[in-house]
Amino acid sequence: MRFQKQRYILFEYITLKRNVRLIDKEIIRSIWESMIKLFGEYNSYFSGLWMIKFNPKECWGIIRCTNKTKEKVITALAFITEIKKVPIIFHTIKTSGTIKKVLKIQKYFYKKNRQ
Amino acid sequence: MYTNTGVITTGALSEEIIEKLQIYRFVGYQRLMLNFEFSECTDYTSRLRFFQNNTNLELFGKIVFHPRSISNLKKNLQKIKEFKKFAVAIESSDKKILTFAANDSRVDILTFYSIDVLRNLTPGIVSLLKQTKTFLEISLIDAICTHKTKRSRVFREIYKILNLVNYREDILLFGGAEKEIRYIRGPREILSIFHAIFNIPLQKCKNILNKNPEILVQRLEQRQNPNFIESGVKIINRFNNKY
Repeated sequence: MRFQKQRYILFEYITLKRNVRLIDKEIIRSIWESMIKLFGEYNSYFSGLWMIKFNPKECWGIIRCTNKTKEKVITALAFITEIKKVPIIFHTIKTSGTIKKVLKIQKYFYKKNRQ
Repeated sequence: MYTNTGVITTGALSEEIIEKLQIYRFVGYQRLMLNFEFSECTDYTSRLRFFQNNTNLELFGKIVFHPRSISNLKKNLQKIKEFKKFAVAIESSDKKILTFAANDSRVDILTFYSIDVLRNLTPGIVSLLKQTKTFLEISLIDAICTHKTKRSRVFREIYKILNLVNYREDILLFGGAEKEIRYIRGPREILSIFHAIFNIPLQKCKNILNKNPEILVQRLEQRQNPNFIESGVKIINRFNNKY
């Protein structure tokens, strides 16, 4: 198989109900569902979606996808309005080609927010 | 600066709106335009100032008219002088009213939030909009709220309109028009929706959210200057005025 460039998407989310903790499997499943709904099975198999990191406490995560399907994955994230009847808003902070840089940005971003 | 030109304020308490504004900030907007439905008794400036004091976002106001007829629209437009700081928007499903509004230079924006209204947009109106430099505001709220066949119909309608406008001309604006908080989406997501679903190049998408609202804001700021002359106005005998 030909090598495809990867992209790492750093995202965060807000749930509009308090005291609700979502697990990574629920989130990745809903992204897959949204992706298949919007772009079909054929287009979504190209994406190679994978959850790299997930932090339910601080409500952020990192997804890996291919270079060419990056915009489609972000679109799929945008169309998710609820997970298990919990209203949710996704927000992509940054996309990068390396995990190292994404993690660096994530640390900087949360330091800034805490201040 | 990413701008959302359609923040709905009607039918919501001021606390709810402040909460909404916080979410807009979280999602990545730096500038917002608040929609105020036109009524003669409301003090818009004080309301806008109240919201400006409660957020770090750059806020602007927009008065939305829902005219019933052309004569009604004419009457309403006469009262615009009082609201120089606000943008003037018109929402209507009547083609005659839309044509009249597109011709009038006092109108800044034609808003098309729902798909039923969007269907009334004709190539003639779009051509008039380009000539008078009036903006056309569209929303993706119907696409986000609906599912399955309804959603694909909405996509089709928006796609038609985007082709009609030919997105090269800088007249498009993005107005969120989210009535509920959970439908708020950030500028990055909106960019990717326009790019991935409607096949608009990314740079053009950025113009919709970034450059075109900037032009509108500049126009609003210029209007407050008493020496500013609108484009299309011809001055006769400026220096030889004896009387």
